[in-house]
Amino acid sequence: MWKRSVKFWGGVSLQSLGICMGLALVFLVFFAGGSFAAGGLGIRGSVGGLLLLYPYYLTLMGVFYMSLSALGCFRSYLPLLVSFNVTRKQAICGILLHHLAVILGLVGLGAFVWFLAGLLGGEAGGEMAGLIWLMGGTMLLVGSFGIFLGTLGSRWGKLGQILGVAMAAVMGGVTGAGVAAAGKEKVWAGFNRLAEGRFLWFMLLGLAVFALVSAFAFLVNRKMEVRN
Amino acid sequence: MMSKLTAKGISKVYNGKEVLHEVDLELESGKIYGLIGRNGAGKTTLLSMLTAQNPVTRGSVTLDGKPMWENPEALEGVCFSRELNPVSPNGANTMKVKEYLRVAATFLPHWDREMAQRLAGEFGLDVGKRISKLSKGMMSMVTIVVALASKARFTFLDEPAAGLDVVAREKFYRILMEEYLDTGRTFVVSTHIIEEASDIFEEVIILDKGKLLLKENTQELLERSYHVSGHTEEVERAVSGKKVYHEETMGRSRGVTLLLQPGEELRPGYDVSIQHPSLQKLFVALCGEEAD
Repeated sequence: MWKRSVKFWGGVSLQSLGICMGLALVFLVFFAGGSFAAGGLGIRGSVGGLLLLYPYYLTLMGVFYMSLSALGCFRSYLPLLVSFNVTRKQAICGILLHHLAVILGLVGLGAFVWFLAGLLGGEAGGEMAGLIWLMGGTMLLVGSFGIFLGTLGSRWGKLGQILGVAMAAVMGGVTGAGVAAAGKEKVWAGFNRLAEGRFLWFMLLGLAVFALVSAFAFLVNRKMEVRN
Repeated sequence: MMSKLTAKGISKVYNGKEVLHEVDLELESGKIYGLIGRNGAGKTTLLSMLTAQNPVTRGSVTLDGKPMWENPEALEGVCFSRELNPVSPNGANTMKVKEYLRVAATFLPHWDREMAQRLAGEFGLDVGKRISKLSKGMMSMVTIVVALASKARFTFLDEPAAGLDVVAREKFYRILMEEYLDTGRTFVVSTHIIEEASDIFEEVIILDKGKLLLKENTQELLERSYHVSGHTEEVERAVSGKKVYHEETMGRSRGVTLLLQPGEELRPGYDVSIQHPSLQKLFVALCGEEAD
C-alpha cells in the first residue's frame, strides 16, 4: 500500500510543483519582466534580474498553494482515499509528505536558480542562503496553518474552518498589537539579531511547528468517518 | 479456503442515538447476499463498519480472524463501492470519472483495468465527464464499475440499482451473476428494488430500526412464510396461535402474512387460500406496521 501511496502522492506533488513553477514564472514575467526590459538592462541583465527574483515568486506561489491545498486534501482526498481502503494513518502521512515535498521542491528549485545565477558564493552567498531558509520556514509555517485548518475542517466541517480562521485572526491581531507596542526600531533590531543566524532557526521553527500540527492531524483524524 | 467476514456485537451511536444495535453477522465467501431494510434502518452504516470506513462504537469486525480496522492486509480483501456524491465538502465534485477510476486503480490491489474499461463501455459511461455533471443513474454505473473491477473477495454495493433504468438494471444483474459464477466472489448488495433483485440473492439480510431482524437462505425463508387469505373467521381459526406480521382487511375478507418457525406448520382443513409471498411482500409484512 505504501508503494501505491507514493505513486499517487508523487503524481500530485509533481503536478503541484509544476503549477507553482509555472504560475511563478508567469507572475515574474508579468510583473517584473517589463521593468527589466524598460530599464535598458539588456537580455543578460534582464535574465539575471529574473533569476534573482524567481525564487521569491516561487515562495509566493508556495505560500499561496500551502494556504489553500491542505483544506482540499483533508476534506476531499482523505475521505476518498479511505473509501479506497487506504488506512487513515497512510492517507494523512501522504497528505503531510506531499506538502513537505512541494515545500522542499520549491526551496530546492529556488536554491538551484540562485546557484545558477552565481548568487550563492562568497560573503553575499551566505545571506542569500539565509533567505532560502527564510523562504522554506515561511512555507512551512503557512503550510502548518493550512494543515491545522484542514484538520479542523475534516473533523468539524465548516464550523472547524471558521474556528481556524478566527484563531488566525486573533493571533494576527495579538502579534500586530505586540509589534506596534514594541515599536519599529526594537522590532528591526530583533530581526537583524535573528538574521545573523542566517534564518536556519526559522526553518527549524517551521519544521517543529509542522511536526506539531502533523501530530494534531493524526490525533484528530484517527477515527475519521467517510460519509456520503 | 472459505473466507469469513465476521461482525460481533457491532453497535453505532451518533450524537447519543443508537443507529445500529448489537449486530452479529457472518458473511461467507462465495455467496450473494441481499441487504434490505427501510430508509434509516442502518444499511449504509452497517456496510461502512464492515469495511472499516467508519469505526464501530462497540463490537468488532474481522476478516478471517484479522481485525479490519486500519489493517491494510485485511482491507485488501474488501471493497465498498458507496454512492457517489455530486457535491464534495468543498463544493461541486469536480473530479472526472476517469480520475476517480484512476484513484481506484491505484489503491485497489486487484483492480482489473480491462474489465473497468469494458464495463464503462457497456454502460455507455463518458469517463471524461465530471462527477457533478452525471445523472443519478450514471453515478450508479460508476459505483458498479468500481465494485466489479475491484475484484475484491468481499464486495459491497450500496443501492447500486438506484437511478438505473430497467434496461441498465437487467444489465447490472446479468453482469453481476456472470462475475459471481466466474470468480465465486462474495457480493453484498443493498437495495430497495427487492422484487427484481431477490432472484439473485442466495441469502437475505434484513435490518429493521438498527437491529438485525434475520439472515437466512432466501429460498428457505420464503418457504416458511405464508400469506393466508379468505373469510375473516376462517383465517382467524387457521392462524390461531401463530404470530401475524401483517394483515389486510377488505369487508368480510382478511389476508395475513406469517413467518413460521422452523418445524412449525399451518393447521390444515380450513377454507382459506395459502400462498408463499414474494420477498418484497414478506419484507413489507416484517418491517411495515405490525399487526396486533
